[in-house]
Amino acid sequence: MTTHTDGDAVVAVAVSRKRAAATNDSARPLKQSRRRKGKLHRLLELPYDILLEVLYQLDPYSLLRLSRASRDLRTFLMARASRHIWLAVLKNAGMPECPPGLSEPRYFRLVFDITCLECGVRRAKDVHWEAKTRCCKECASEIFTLWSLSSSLPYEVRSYVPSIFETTRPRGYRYDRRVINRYEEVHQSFADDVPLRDEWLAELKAQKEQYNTFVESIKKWTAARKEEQNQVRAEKRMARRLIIETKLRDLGWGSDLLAHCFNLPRKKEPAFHNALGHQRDLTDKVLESLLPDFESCLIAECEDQWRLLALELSAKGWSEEFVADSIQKAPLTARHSDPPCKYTYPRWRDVISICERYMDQRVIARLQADGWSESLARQCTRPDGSIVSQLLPTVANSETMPREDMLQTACEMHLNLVAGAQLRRKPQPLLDIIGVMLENSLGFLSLHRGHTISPSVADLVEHAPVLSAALAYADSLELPSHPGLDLLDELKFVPSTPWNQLLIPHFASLWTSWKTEKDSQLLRIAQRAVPTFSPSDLHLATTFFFCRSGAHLDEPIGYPRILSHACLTKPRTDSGQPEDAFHTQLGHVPWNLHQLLEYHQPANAIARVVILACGAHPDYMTAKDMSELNPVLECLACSSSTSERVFMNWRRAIIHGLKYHHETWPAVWRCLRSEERDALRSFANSSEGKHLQTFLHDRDVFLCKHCRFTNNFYKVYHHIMFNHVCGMSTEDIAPDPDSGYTPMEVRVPLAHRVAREMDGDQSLLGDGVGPTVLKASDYTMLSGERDFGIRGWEMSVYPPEEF
Amino acid sequence: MAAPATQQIKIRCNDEKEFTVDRDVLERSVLIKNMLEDVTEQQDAPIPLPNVSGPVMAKVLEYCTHHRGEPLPSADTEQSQDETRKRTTDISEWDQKFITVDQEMLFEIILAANYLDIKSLLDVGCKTVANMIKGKTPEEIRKLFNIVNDFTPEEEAQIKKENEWAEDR
Repeated sequence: MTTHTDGDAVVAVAVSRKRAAATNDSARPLKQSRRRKGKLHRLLELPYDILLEVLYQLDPYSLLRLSRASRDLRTFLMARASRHIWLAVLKNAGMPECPPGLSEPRYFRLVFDITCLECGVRRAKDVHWEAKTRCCKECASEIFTLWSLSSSLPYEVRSYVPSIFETTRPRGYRYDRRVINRYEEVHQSFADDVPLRDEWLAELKAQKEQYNTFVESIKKWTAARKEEQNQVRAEKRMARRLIIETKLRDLGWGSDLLAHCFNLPRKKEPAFHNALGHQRDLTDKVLESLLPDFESCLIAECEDQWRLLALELSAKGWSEEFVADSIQKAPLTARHSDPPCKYTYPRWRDVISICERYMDQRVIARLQADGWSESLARQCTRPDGSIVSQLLPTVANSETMPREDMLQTACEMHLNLVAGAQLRRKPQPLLDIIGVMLENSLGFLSLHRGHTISPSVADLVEHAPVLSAALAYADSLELPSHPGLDLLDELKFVPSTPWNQLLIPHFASLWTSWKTEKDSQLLRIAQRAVPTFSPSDLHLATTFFFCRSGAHLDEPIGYPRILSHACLTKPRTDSGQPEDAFHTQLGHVPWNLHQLLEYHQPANAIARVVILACGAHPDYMTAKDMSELNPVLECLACSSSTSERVFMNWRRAIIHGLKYHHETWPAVWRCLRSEERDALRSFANSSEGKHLQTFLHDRDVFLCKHCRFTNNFYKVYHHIMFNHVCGMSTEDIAPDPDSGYTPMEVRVPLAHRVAREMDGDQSLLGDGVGPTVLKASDYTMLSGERDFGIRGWEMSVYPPEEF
Repeated sequence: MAAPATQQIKIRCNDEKEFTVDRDVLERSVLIKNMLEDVTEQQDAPIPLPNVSGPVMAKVLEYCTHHRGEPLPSADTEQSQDETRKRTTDISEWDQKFITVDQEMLFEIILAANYLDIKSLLDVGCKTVANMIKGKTPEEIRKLFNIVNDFTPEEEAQIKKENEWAEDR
């Protein structure tokens, strides 16, 4: 080691060797800036040999960069006299020796500096070792060219010219045009001297072979270095990640969230990737400056994850409201990382399963609120939920229905089955008790709520929450082996039992849902006969159904009376179905279980004529309107053919038409004026008319509060006395305005004074023109060309040509 | 002549600070070792070290004490290795901790190591400085050395393209 003990700036001394001739300065110190002193500002004051020792320790790229730091350093390092420094550094780096034709600085530049060697500006990723250059596309297109066929160089020289392989069209090798020109000149110079030319070619070949060996070794070295660099980089990244993770964990962020964020793609979480990719040491100061970015990323990621989670739950069919509430209220264990972090981050699978359990619990809570007993409702919870999930596909509107509603409906279906099965296992005495309890409740509750139409006991039994309450109460009774009338009587007179109180909250919803369902059934029945039948048509005075049970065949029954028609809820023994045995035991069947109802089209046609005769429009007149109008009609056909004048209300008129004028001779109706109606009423109420069925008004119909038996007052009175084994009181009987009970005709002998006092006598009977009988023009206007469907009835409404 | 290992030697720094140190510790310095070998008689007068201050000497002695007993490189091998050896910038953990000092002290240690001819300490110092230069851009190097960029923009663009020896251009 050369020893210099003087403290002069040795770099300047070295430089001065070159400049000594021009200047007499012995040692010119490097220009130093006036800015804040750098850490190594004294380096340049070190003795030359020490400075050399430092330079020997550098890596190639640092030496290259150092040579570009200042003019003096460049002059010093780029002097051939300093080559030993470059060689030492090259050796330290373990690089293959510099090949002939390349200087060490250029060699280092080629290997380490990624800017274009030709222009020095643009980036050039790849080194073209065969061409001993690293150049950008622009420079490559200028320097390298396709081999010209007109070149004077022999073909074999081509392989000695530096070349690059171009992948753009035309694909193939491009050759250094500068070298080609030089070779061409040399080749020309040897034109007359073949041996010398051969010698030159041999030399080129030898150089090429030697260089090829170098290319092989430098490529190997470059690959090894790259691998080593990657490894170092990975280690650095890992170390930096550890530091960042530790810091963020100390600040309260969960490790699962951190791990998730570190693994996200760069585009999504640039802050983390940039921090990891940085080459410098991650000092506390740097880390502090990065923290806001990290935390905003973490918060955004948390929110993103919760949003995605909510979407996933929604995609499973849960409504937004249900999902939001569940995520909010799901147990905290699912919302926190371990250890707890400052911002909640979902552990997906945990949260989803917990949320779903929570949502199931909410569904069960809804079921319980609807009156299901806890034990029954719990049967729908997981893992028994598989039963419910089997039922899910059968739930109507399952495509649009929120999952919780589907689940609830499926649970109800399931629990109905369970409750029904439980009920079917009950002994007959208990079924009697349940039947009576429910019957009493229905009567009591429906009257208290002003409903005259109510579900049957069997309909109630299908409604499991009610049944659940009734079963629970029945199970609590000490049931004697053969309950006698005493117990049943006792039940009958206790309308406000505890279980009855349980029923009260559900009755309104039960009644509504039952009626809605039955209305739909009626609508479907009517639409089978009249496809255009709309829901509002149910209330028209022309709407009638008939029951095929036999006892009441062809009797037109209006709406809503049809909902409480007794035949439809009576058990039948002739169907042979096992279900009927249970209903027989219970004494009731669900309404229209056996599909006995049909739309009464003839009654509809007759009603239209009657309503027209009353001066109203059949398409708009409701049954309620007709009851309020309460017209009294005279059947002119009967009055003219018998010795009596026949009067009746509008409902009886329809029955009358069906009974006496169906397919025989047409009925002709006359609507009585008010004074005639009063005269007739006073006659009917007099002692003379008592025997003539004097009920001319719907309000004269009554019902039994216990079992909803309907008839005139006297019949209901006798019914209560004999069937319910109790003394009559006002609590047992009520008027039934909805019943539609139909009074009979009032027949007045022609010889009677009243008959004679009625309008028109024979003249009236002759032309059928009464005070409210329609004129032809009115008829045309009101009925248009509608076909009433019954032969003979068209004639009775005074066709225009006869008028 | 080899002296007993327990022999205590006195040294005096340029600020008159004196140290009494075991001979084998001091012999890490080739300079002092040669001086001790040249002196045949035992003398109590301290060895003057005019180029080293007390605090720096204390640091140097800390290094020598830690590395006492380690084989010293012989002059021959050192000379032969100097040109051909492959240098590494790895520094042992203890040395790294030892050399983590302010830059003033770092340079003083390097100069002292050079003066006292303690090769291994000089290596550690030079490696530390080299490590500080490594990976820096030219601008960062300028800041580090406290020098100005005296290239014109045209020259700066040119030097990126010129990579040949100055004599060859």
